[in-house]
Amino acid sequence: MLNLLVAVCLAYVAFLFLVAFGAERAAERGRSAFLRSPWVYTLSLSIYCSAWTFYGAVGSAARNGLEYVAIYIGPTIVMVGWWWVLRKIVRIGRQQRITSVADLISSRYGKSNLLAVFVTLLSVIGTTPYIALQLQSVTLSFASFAGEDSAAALPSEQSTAFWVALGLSLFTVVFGTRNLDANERHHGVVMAIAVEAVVKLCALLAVGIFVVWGLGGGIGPVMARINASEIGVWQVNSGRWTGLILVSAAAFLCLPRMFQVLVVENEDESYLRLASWAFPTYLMLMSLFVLPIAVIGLEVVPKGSNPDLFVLTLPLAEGRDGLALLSFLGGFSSATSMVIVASIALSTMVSNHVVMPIWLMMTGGGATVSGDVRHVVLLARRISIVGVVFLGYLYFRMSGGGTALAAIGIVSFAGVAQFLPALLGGIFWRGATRIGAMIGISVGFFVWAYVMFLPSFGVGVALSETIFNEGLFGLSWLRPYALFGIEGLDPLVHAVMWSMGLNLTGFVIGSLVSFPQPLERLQGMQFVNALDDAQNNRGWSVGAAQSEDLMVMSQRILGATQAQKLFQEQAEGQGLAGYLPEPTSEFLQHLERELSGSVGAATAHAMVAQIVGGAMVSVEDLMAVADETAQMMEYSSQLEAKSGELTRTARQLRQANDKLTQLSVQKDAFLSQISHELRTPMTSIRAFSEILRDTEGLTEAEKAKYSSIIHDETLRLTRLLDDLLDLSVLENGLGSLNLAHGRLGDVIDHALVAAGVNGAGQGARLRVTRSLAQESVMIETDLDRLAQVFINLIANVQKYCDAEAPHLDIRTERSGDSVVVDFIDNGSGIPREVQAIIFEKFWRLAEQKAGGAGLGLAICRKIMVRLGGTIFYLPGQGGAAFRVTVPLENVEVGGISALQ
Amino acid sequence: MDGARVLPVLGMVLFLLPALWPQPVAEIATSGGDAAAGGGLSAGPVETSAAMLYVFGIWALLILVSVVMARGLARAEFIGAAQAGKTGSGAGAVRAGQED
Repeated sequence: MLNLLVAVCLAYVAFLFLVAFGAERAAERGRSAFLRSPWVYTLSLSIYCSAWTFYGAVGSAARNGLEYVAIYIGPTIVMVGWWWVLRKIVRIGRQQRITSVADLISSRYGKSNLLAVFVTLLSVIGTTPYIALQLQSVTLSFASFAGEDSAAALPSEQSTAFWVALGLSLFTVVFGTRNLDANERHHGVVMAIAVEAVVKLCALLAVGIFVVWGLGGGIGPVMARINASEIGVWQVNSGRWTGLILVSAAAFLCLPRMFQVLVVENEDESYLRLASWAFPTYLMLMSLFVLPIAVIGLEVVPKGSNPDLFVLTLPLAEGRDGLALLSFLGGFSSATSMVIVASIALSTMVSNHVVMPIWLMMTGGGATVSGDVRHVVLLARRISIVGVVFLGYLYFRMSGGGTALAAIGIVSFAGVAQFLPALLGGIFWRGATRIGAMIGISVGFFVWAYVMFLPSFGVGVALSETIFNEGLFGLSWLRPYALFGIEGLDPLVHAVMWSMGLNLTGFVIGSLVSFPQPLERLQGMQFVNALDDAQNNRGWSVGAAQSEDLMVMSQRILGATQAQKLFQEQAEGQGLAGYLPEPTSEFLQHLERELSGSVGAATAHAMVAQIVGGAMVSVEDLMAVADETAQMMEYSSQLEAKSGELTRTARQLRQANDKLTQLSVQKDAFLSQISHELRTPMTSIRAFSEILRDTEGLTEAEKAKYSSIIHDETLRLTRLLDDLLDLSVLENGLGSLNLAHGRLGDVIDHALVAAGVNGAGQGARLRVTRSLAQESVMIETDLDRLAQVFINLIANVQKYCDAEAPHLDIRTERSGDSVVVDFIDNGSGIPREVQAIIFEKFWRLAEQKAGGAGLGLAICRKIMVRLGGTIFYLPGQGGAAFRVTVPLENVEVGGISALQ
Repeated sequence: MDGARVLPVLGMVLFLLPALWPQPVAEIATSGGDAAAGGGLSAGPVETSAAMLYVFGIWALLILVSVVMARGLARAEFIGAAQAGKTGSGAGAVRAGQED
């Protein structure tokens, strides 16, 4: 039996891995229609029903009757009232690219990292017992199966918990940190927990139906038996009833794992509409059979057995092993899905708000040092996931797993409920300030810890018996269960009343007496008015921001491809070619949000601030905050848009003018250059031919020498004229393309050989690295022309790369219908101010190094245009870098084919 | 939309009603006698089966109403978007349409 159980468990886990893997694959291929369904979203919310629900609800019902329902009524009310709160939080989450509940609170209160750290720590403390609870439930259910089978060697409870913790960490690391998605969405994980949601619902319903119709003899008799049992009358303490509804409603919004599925994983706001009734239905179905199971369990199962496990022991006692197995899987699903999502949510918070700021501080230079920062983020997340799960395991071992499941859960709920005043206040009350939030959360947290969390370990463990009886420092009004001398209340009601009450008071008073910082005001306004459209989110004043520095930083966080794509799109949006958009305030805002999707709002803000400088809130922003009647907002934003447009146009005009002036200077320079280039060989040809003609008695050796000089000079002239001709042919779109199929790698090989990289001489110094695997792509183009471009780029590196040990990196990557080849060297690169003109004719990096006529890059560009591709200078790569894009299939470029 | 705002409040009130139900008194013997003496239906503690019916009944009702409401809201937003398209700028209509 035990072996079968382990086998079923492993098979189930393997199945979940497959589901998650399949979902990730589908999402990557863009076939994710079914992943983006509101049903999946609704099912994923079911992680609210952890093992606490699955096992603990029956236990709670066996002890206190209908009280367990309150835990599900709270979320029901929140979901039914989605129009008020959830819609707004989800909207804000999408607008501000919120990654966690800590991120939301920190972002609202002026992107304060201190607040984020505080919320993160509190979440970790509040979630640890909850994870321990899940491990405990799996262990207990395992043991109750094992108890049936006395022949088998019983594994120790701790080793079961250990293996479960290990497996969960592995699953979460594999699917939770696969990539650093800017949106923080995990398709695989969400799909897996949606499947688990179905499994646990089916399992509980199956047990319920078996109990009611199989054991109880139908609805009527079961109802009679319920009334006849020891929980037959309504005996729920009204304070507890109200308290539980309120706390569960608060926790539903504030639990890090719920926030993760509700807000962060939400793809579309309209999903809420379905979830608003479908999720309450799920909750209702989950709790429908709890009471019958509890009552029949009390009758059938021998006295003294743990009521928390009735769902499992009842079918076992009746000999229904198959049903028991299903029920075990249901409980297993509830526990695992909760731990997975909770550890993802917490790891995001820990890495974004604790590890990253510390890491940035320790590495000194912060955002601008070279190197990829993403591996740090991913590593931090992976370590945090393992850390969080094992913290839960540690708690489980230390607490010994004795307390009833429900008791641990409610402690955790009340802990995270402390975020509620700051959260709701933040999105509905513009007057709420950082100081108020800090005071509220910390007061609530300490009261909670003192009256609920520490006492939950039992008398004499965390707090001594003296403190329980006589209060802290012997002050009787500080007794944990009778704060301020109010006795006789239920501990839960007492704890919730005092912690939430003082929290709220501290929050309101703190907000009223303190004065918000400008950024805080700005964020406050955006959060409170999130539902009004026409948001105009400002924050960065256009200043000395250097696009290139921003690009260097973004590449490290978002990854090179994504960052380059973002910059190119933005540049295109501004009507500029290339990769460097103007650092307008819209662009900076957009960038900051993209970054905050990866590292959190506070860190992203700090990083951008490092580069852009101190100018965070402009005068316009302050004015916008000060008087924000709709018309004023509208007017000022229109004005701003217009003035921004004018500024941009003016800047573009200036750029165009500069370019024209430079071109005209170049043209003049070219004329003198070309006459010089033509004259020098001409002069020597004339001189030497005169010598040959006029001098008598030349030796054969001398004759040969002079005529070979004449020959060399003629060759040089021919080359120059060839180049000019080549260029004019390309410019006029004449000449035909010699299309052929070939491997890209062969073209690069050919170019390297032709440029003499592998031979002797100066070129041999150059070290080349290539991405051979990607180079095996087949292309259809004019291979000789393409090789000409490559040779030119390689030759330029040989000529101009000024590094001690020149190194050329040729990176190849497929990108849609084309292939991108980057040539990146380690020299000092091309200065910003001339990047725009290097592709012009007759431009040379340095006059003294004149090796050609300055036509190389101009020809390259013309060739690439003819081939239907592009060549760009790629800034921010640490050296000179050129990006060549070649279409895989030849596309005919307008008009040219007609000429052929 | 206003209905959507009222619904959770209504649900809250209905769900909190059980808190006001009479509690079983500690000494069952005397309370039973009193109840018998009172003779009214209102005096005795509420049976769990009745409580279950009440709680799950309210639950089902809330769910039904929110199904209707969700449909209504979807339609209202659609109409709102269409109106915005007529009166407002074209871009606004497109944006509102996408949000649906």
